[in-house]
Amino acid sequence: MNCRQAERWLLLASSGELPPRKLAILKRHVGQCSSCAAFRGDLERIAESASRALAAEEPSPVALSAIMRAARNEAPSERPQRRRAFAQRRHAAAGALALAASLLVCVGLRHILREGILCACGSRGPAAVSASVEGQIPASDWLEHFAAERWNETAYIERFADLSEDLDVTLAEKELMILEGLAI
Amino acid sequence: MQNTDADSDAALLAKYRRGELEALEKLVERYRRPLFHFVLGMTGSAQDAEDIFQEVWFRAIRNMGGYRHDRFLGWLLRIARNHIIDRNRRWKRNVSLEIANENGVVLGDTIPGKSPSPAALVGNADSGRKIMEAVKALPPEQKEVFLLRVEGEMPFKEIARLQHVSINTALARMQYALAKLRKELKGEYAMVEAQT
Repeated sequence: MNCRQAERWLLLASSGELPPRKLAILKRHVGQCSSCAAFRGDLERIAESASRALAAEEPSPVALSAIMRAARNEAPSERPQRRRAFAQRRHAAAGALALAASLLVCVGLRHILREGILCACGSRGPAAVSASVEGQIPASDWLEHFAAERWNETAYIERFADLSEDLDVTLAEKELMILEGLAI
Repeated sequence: MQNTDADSDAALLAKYRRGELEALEKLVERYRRPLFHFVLGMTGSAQDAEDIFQEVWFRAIRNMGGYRHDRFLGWLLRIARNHIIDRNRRWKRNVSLEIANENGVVLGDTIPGKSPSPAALVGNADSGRKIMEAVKALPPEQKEVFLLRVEGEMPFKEIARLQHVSINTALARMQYALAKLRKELKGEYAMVEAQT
């Protein structure tokens, strides 16, 4: 090992980046080499002197206040609000979806029982089914009326089933995506 | 820097993201000195250092959501370095000092900094001032390695990554810097040794 290499290893040793095996070799070399021992001594002294010289230098209280003001304005005040708003939207979306699902199931079952026809449900579907049930629209008419919407509702349900396969997305997120029109 | 788990950088950052301002205050307090000292050493002006120090924190606060690094201080120093480079680019537009020769040594390493030579500066001032003046007189890349290592306690691997050079080049820059400082401060240390 030459002294230039030893100096590099001394630098790496000072930052804790020299592997133990090389450290042992370095120790042996420095133990026998006055030049490298002097380098090690100066390295420590220079680092210590520089740190001591700068120790008295500090940023002013004005600068520190400005930083804390920025921190107050930027992050903590806005983020909880955003999180709350997002959580509220998610809850509202989940609630709306649950309500719609319940309504669809009730209306669907009622219609199946009454007419004996299996039909899909939709946002305007329940109204048509209800109207049919109440006798306002003849069964033959509402079937035509409902057929135009049936594809969309089927696509909706299929898309939801696809999303359910994705384990990275939570159920609430899927619901929210669908309701916000992101998924379909 | 050793901290308990609850007081670790990661824990404090998480608390700050939850809206606890005191957590950020602790981080500012923890790193204000090494960051300020690095910037001051690089700029040589207390006023510039103060402006850059503030700007670094402003940028860090704005980008805290994207922070994914291991060492928070390393991240701050990286922001500071980039800001100093941007700032200096506005001033020098002529010769690039960052083009390396076949040995990986850049032009900036071979010429002295803009300040007066270390020999001229190491005069009658006290020893602390002498060493800082000598550091300020180093070429920018060597000064940067020296300050990142000594003030920022940054490992050479990280310094090399930051400067986009090999670890051997980073080590060589530190060797050049130390050789100059040793030469300039030799008398100073001889005096200290004689006194002890």
